[in-house]
Amino acid sequence: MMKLRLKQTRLFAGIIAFGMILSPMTVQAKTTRNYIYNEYAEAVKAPSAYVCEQVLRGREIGIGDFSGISDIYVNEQIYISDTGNNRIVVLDPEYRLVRSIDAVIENGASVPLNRPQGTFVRDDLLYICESGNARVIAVDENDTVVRTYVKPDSDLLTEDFDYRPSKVVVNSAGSVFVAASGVYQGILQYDNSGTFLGFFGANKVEVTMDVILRSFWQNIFSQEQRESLVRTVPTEYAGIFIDEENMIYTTTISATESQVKRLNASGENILFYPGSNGGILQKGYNRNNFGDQEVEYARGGLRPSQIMDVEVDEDGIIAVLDAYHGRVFVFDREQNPLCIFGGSGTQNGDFQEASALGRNGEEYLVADSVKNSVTIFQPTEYMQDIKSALREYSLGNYARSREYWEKVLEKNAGLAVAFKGVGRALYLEDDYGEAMEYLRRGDDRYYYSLALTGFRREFLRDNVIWLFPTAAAGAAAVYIGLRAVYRALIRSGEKGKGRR
Amino acid sequence: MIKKLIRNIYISIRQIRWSDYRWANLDKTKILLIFRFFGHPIDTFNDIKYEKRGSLAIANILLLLFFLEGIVNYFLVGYLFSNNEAQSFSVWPILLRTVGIVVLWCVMNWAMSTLFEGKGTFKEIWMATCYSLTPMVLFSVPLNAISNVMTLSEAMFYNAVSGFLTAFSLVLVFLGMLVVHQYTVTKTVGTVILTLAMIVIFIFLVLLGFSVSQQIVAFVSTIATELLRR
Repeated sequence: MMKLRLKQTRLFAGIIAFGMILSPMTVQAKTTRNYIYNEYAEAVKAPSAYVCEQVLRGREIGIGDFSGISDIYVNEQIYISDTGNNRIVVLDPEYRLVRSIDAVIENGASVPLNRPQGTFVRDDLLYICESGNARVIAVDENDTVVRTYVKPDSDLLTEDFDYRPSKVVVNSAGSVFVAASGVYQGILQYDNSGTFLGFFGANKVEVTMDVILRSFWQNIFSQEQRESLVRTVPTEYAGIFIDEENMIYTTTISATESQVKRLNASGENILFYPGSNGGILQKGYNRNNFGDQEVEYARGGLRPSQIMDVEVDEDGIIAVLDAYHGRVFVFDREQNPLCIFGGSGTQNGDFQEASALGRNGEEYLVADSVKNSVTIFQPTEYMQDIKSALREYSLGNYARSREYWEKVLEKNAGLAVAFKGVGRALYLEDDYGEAMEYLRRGDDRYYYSLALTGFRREFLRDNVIWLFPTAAAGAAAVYIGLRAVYRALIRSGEKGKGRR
Repeated sequence: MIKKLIRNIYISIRQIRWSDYRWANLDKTKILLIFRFFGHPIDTFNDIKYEKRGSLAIANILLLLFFLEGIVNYFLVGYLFSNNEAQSFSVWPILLRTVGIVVLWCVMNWAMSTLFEGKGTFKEIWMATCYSLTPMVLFSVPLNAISNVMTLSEAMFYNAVSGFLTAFSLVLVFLGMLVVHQYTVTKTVGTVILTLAMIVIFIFLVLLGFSVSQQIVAFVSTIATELLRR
């Protein structure tokens, strides 16, 4: 017996030792850095959703190194704003060089571009933010300037204000929306002909303790003292994006919540869940936070995500770029987290200073203004399944959506959105009991409640024959039992009195 | 002094009549008293104070049930109405929320009533407070059990009923203090507010003492390391 036990111990030790030899290899595996947030807002491991397929460098394309890329725009062709080299590099969807724009023709003369930033194409016109010349220009296919959009003559912008437009989008009616650095009044809106219409959708001042204290002191201080105080202003927009429905998405770098906004025609954010998940309890995941839920503590301070850029695809999948950590966060249209990829570092697929995000079909492009490269990320089979599941669900093919979600769950059994997806599909297929299990795992209280309603209704319908007589009999039994107990208690009290 | 305190506690523990807790020795009609709260709350408190219809054993059992039901409800409440997780369960917050607050309330109210000519003894305050938990003890478990088959559209009913149970218990505590101390309504309101203020001050002092003692320990240990290393 003793010998056997010794043998077992040895075997056990051997397994542990073998495991220790193996473990460094698993740590180095590619998937370990990939994570996702669960419904408790805890980071958990996840399979890799996007892999770095190729890194584009200017030299390899044949036009010399990039310098400080500030924007990527994709519309049939890929426009890379090579700000440091004062040019815009145009590639075809296979990443081959089409041309490079260094100068535009204005009034018959060739004028070199001066620090071009954001670009946009609408109706065969290329809009370029020329931050060095404080204007946005619209050029046709011959590089001739058709229209210019200059610094507006507004009371809100002072005379000596350095106007540097950084991002531009144009809606289908031809209205031009410009985000400029240092402009906190909102997005500048111009009409078709280049006339300034006004500011649109300004960020609101976030009420922090600092702001409250400052407004308190402002009531006490004299005029001169007041002027020396830092002014409380809302923050500027860093990136803008327009979808097919002419809805404008904006990003705010310094915000810690609602970093991405979807603005309606009157400039209100409609991409927001009020309260905690629309008045319903939630386990801790904040759907209005597009960055890291667990904020990193490094170099003596909290380092929240700085959401720089946003891309929304035709299925409503939102991808945002965290410039500080070099990560891309991908969400579905209900702001459920799907995957997180990238990171800071020097390897391929990591970034030193991520500056812009673009989307070419299935692939995401991330520009790095220090590494001077554009990294191309391709979705893995896992991510393809997630996307197919979301697409099938929105098309109404619930059974096929469920099959895809089940494939996803085989690879990642901790993805809340997959449980939600299976649960909702089951609910819509009227399998309420099973649906409730999945919806609970996915923390989807609204649909859980719907499934519970259905479950209750079916239960009552199937069991009404015996349920009501049993309930009546039960109530009668309880009544009789309680009466008996009551009488026994009274009787024992009388007996006690007699004894005393 | 500490020796004396420990001795006093020892004596009071020895004075507990454990035989009162035996079913055979309990006057069973006293159990029925708790149901009178729903019809005649003030009369019931009068019965407890003057007619000796209350029982310390029943009061303590009510408090124990209140605590145990706190644990049961943590697991029993429907998924739609809570964020409770089995893996993050801890008994201490529930103990503080039930037994802790009752003990604190009774001690502070007793201290206040001695200053404001309250006629109640500590035993009476304790019994009145514990008896006031009756509505919650009787109905919180059935309510939380039913919440498992309630949907979000019925959340209003759940919140209304649980709010009503809590409010009923608080009203009973108020009436209990009114009867036990033979106060007028205004004086009861005053002492209740003062008692609550005392509880807040007490919690503040405990936290302050805790953090100060922590800092003293840290300070002394730093000096000790400094002396040892030099």
